[in-house]
Amino acid sequence: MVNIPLIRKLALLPGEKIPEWVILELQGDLQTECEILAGQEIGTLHLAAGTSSPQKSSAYGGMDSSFRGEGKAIFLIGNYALTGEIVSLKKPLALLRKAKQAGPTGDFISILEVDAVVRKKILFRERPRHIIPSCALPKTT
Amino acid sequence: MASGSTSMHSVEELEPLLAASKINLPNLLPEVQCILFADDYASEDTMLMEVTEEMISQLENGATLSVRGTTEDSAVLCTESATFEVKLREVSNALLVSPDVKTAACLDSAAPRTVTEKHIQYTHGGFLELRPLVPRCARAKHLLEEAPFTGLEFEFETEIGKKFTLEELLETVQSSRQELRQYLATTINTCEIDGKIRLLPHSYVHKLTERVLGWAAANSLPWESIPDYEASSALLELEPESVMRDFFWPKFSEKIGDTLRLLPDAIARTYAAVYLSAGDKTRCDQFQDWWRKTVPSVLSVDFREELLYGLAYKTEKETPAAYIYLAVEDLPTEPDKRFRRLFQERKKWPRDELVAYLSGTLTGSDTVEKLLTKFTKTITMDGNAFLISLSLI
Repeated sequence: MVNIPLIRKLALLPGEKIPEWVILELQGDLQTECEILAGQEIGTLHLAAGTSSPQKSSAYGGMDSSFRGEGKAIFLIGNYALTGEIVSLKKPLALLRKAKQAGPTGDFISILEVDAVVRKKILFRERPRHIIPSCALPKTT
Repeated sequence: MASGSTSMHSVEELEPLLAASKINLPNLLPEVQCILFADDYASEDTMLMEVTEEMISQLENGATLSVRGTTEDSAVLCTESATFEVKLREVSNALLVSPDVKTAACLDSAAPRTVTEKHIQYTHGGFLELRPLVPRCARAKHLLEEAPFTGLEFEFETEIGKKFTLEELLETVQSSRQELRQYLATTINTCEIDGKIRLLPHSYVHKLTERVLGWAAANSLPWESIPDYEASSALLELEPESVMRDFFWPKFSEKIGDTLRLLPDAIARTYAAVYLSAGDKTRCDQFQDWWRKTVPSVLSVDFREELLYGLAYKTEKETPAAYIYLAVEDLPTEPDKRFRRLFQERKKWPRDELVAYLSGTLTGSDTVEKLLTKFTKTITMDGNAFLISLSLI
């Protein structure tokens, strides 16, 4: 039988909490033509301020009705806007990483380290909305 | 999606995009988080697993949990006191895991507008889910059957098989330490002898019982009141001390003040186990006759069928009626398999008799009532209530 010890992150000091990370949950998959993702930009994330009375209209016209109040988020990816909200997970998720550790006999044994814990996610459950390209072009100044 | 550029946006540059998306800008927190894949982005060798806050605090306090997998069964996660089945739950969404993305609560709404870089370290398409599981302790019994303890005089026989410590059993059995200890102490007859856990067969337990009763009679000691110290030490020369101290007295006697009172029902059941386990089927009239002649009359235990609950059951229609040997510890531990097996044995069960066969199959928030509701239905026949299988209806 395989028996793998699961422990907290080795680098943690005694009494130190396991770091808390966040998940961005996107509907479907991210598609890209890039072979190497490391270092690539995905988009920009905008969070709503805690509000009670959303202001009607501004320089940018009518406010998106789905985007009001604390906990809401907008993720702009290319010419798409994703509307989402911050959700507390019913059960936390532990991020496990395979690692090796010296065993009692000096051999290296496989272990699982809990690097982080996730208690919140930003869930983008609606379909991405296309932004009219002419308005979406970045300024060239 | 990704623009291919790693250069940071300016707030001004993002404004037309935000305008096009019809987001009310003054309503946003001033910090814009620009999300990039981390320079060392790589999702291999990592996974997400659903846990509980209790497990997190145990881990933070230095506890070690363990993931145990076999080729025959699904992997399990064991804490010190509980066992969980580990199942992969795939989701159709992409889970982007970030060490530094901030949620609203951590952002200052009065700060100047800025763009900060945040990173995605891993992407996952699912997570491991934990479901409470009845520990798979039956494997421990199979292992212990390799070298049962049948008395000191037989310990030097060459064909004796491998013996196991508790730690060695835990390496092979998919169970938490506490649940395995509980199983070894209550479900089957075992004792730790010279550091090894040993199975004590019914025949050996029967022999011990005879010896204790014989010794009590020879010393004119009533079975209701055996002096504790004397009882242990007198038998030490014959049996390992731990067998009496850790197994026999706790299981077959209760302590009243300084004395031990034997438990007649438990002892009678041991006698029945030896007799019934010798064959698959025993005629009821023969068994009851044997009971009268064999169970020590000094204990005066009149035969009652409930003494056999969880050990043997009576055939439904056969004439002459017979008892079928069916020990609860030999039944599957998963509730659905347990009920299927029980209803294969017998189509309808009196409630109490069925409940006796459910021990060791409860997990998490399950109760006997919940299991009975899920798997059985009550019917009445000739004025008597029985439980039948729901799946047969």
